[in-house]
Amino acid sequence: MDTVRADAGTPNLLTAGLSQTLIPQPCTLVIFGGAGDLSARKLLPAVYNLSLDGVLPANFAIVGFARNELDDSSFRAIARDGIERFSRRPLDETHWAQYSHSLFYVTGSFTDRQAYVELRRRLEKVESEFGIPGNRVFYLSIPPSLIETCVEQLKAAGFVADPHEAPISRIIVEKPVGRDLVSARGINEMLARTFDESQIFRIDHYLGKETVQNILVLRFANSVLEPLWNAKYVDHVQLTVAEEEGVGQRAGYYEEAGALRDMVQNHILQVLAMIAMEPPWSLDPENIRDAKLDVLRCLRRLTGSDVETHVVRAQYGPGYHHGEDVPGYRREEGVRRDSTTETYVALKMFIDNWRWAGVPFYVRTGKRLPKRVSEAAIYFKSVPEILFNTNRDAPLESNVLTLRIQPDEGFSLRLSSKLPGPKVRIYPVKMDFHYGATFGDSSPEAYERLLLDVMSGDATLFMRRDAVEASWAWVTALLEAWEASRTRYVPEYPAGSWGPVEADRLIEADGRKWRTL
Amino acid sequence: MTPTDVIASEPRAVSLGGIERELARPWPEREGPPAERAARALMGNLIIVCRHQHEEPEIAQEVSAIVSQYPSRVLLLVADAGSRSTEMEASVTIQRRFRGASQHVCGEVATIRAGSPAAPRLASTARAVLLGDLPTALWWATAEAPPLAGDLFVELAELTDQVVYDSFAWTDPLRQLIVMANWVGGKGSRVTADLAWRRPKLWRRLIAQSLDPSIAPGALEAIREVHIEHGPHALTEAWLLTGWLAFRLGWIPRGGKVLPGPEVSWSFEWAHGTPRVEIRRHPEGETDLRTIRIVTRVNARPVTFRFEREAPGRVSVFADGLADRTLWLTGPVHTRGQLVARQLPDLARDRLFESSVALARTMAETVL
Repeated sequence: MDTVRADAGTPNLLTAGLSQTLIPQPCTLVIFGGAGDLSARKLLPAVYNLSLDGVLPANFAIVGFARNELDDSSFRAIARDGIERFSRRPLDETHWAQYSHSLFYVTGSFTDRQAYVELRRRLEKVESEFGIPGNRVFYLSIPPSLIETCVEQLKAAGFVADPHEAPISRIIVEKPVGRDLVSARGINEMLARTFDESQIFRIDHYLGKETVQNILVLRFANSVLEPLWNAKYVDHVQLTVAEEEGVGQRAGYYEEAGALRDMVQNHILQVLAMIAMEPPWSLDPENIRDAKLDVLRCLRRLTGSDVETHVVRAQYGPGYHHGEDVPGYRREEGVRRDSTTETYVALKMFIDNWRWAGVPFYVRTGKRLPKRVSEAAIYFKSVPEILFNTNRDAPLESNVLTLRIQPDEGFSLRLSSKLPGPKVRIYPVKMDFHYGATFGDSSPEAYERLLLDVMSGDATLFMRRDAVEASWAWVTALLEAWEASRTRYVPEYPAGSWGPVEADRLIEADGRKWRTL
Repeated sequence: MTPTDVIASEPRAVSLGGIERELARPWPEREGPPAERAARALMGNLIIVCRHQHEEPEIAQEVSAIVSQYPSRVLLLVADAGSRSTEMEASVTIQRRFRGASQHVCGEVATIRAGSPAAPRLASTARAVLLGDLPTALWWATAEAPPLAGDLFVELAELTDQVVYDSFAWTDPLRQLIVMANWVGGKGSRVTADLAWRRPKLWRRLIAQSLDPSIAPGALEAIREVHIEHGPHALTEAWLLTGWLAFRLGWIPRGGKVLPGPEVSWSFEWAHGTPRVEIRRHPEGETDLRTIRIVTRVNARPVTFRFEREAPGRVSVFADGLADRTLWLTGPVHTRGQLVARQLPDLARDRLFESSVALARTMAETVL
């Protein structure tokens, strides 16, 4: 992704060739829900860090828009508090003194047409003051139920510009986009009535993580890996997204979602697509997104009896978290006592294409697992049972390439080596690469990269409509199978364990086992 | 990450042949009990050359800043032009970086000192100590155009993938600029970076943004005058910035002259007119670019963009005739060592820099 991009319009002769990869447009970032939690914890600190790095345009402002009765000064206080608490770099008083003057706030209900009139009036004033040529990025940091209203109001108030002409209008929509295929299509259709697909940025912060971006670099910038990246040499792949926390304050949302919708439909399928995709013929965002879509379309649907043998869902029961008693899921505040919402899911998936024919992708994700870790592990096939691998009681460990997404981002490769000494004893050794150790610079937060991408018009790391619908199509088939089974039994696993015994059986039935993390 | 996170061991004197052995010594043996062992992860080799012994202490300090961002094996070669000693001496230090409970070796630093008679042997010493399979960079940390050092530079440059230098404070900058530009454009050149090109990055960015056609339609085509003021030693920064502007806009230098007082001026020619550039030096004060005024027209109205250094890492712009508000752009303030560290991972040639240097050479030739 090493090309300089610019948006449509008269080219700027001075811009081409600057070392800055992404060139954001002068614009106003309008945060719907600007006083909310995501805004304070992630968005405002992310923009602040971009500003500290000098990568934002000088002609830039933020306008928060929400129901909360605030003024510019109290919005700036929220931003300051968020930066002090959550920014990866401490607040710099000198910088803040000027930066804070680019933050503004408009109070208004998302359903009130008059509020949009006020928003427009304020935007025009800010744009005039900052010399911003009408470019606007709307970040919808709001509950899914309000998206349609906001989009319709934006359209009615004339905020949406022609996608092929300046100034630019872009909209950022948070996941989840829908809760099944039908609702996802509905939301996409609704968005499409107002915005062109090139103006819509469906954000999944996972895709902004350095390690996720590095998957493509690792695969396609290293000639040693790609020839092995197929069913001939790969035995299986394991994807794990483990969370330590329980459902916390999100019970209302989580009861309706569950692990499959919350994690698998977006984060995990996106990462899986990057691991399994064919080489795109260029780094153009659409080519990369096409390649990912192809993988999603090749996912074998899990229906009928497959669901019994390929899927395990479970809920955490009471247990221990770092030695402390923690309640089971159904005892959490806001959770129904007879809830069957899964907090854990393990899957055996197949990608029915030439490259991955017969290679199982084992996926597990859950809450209240022993530690927070996200990784993908590619298990290569074992060497033949000759030479050093003749002892069936102690077969050689196969090579494993592990991509750690969080924490401690990096990757490692397990190889077999001879132990020093007169005997030939083989021992697995791990070659480790840690981002933090090798590269001195700290990685930017995912939101920093993603917001910069939107301002620069680069959609590579955002989910395209067809990909969202393809992943929902796969997930919905499974949801329908669960619905049809009408089971009221969801196995429990003790909080603080690595999941239910049924998940162990799922993988052990194939003569394999889950990684120790 | 700041250099204060990096702790250096006491220098240990070693023989020239013992450098590699000392650096490769197993860490448990060197660092004590296993609990204190440090992981080792290096991004590259860095050869640093200075030509005067008095430069060494400052550079030694900067090494910490470099290895904290760019963990590396560092060979600091002190080719002391003022010494007639025929001897060479070496010492080794290890730099460790702490993160939480873990520690990493981020710098393996060998310092080799030689008087001028022994300087020709430095390259052979470096050759024996570089780590294989890692990029190698040469930072010419003396205030002179590296090719002026003759064989020492040629031999060391051959070992490297990248040459970093700093034209800041060059004496006789015009002639040195021509020497350097000839090397950059020559056959045997490597990826090349001048820190005086990196420093005004914020200025280039702000100029590019402010004169963007979406904000100031027609401003680039209508530029008539550019006035640059800079502090002591920053002539090459101003020169390279003019080279960049002229290269990007396709201006052809038609003439230049050194005016009485600390001023240089040029006239250019292109499809839209004959813009004029003046560079003026302030003899005292901050050693940065101070102001840039660009006189142009936007929508047929005369507009003057005034870019001003407000503070280190902060540049403001006011478009007189176009806007009511001063805007600003801020960026991190880097020491020389940090600038080097940020440059080292850039393994691709910076064609924009190379083209700007080439144009700056043409500009220099017009005034000599």
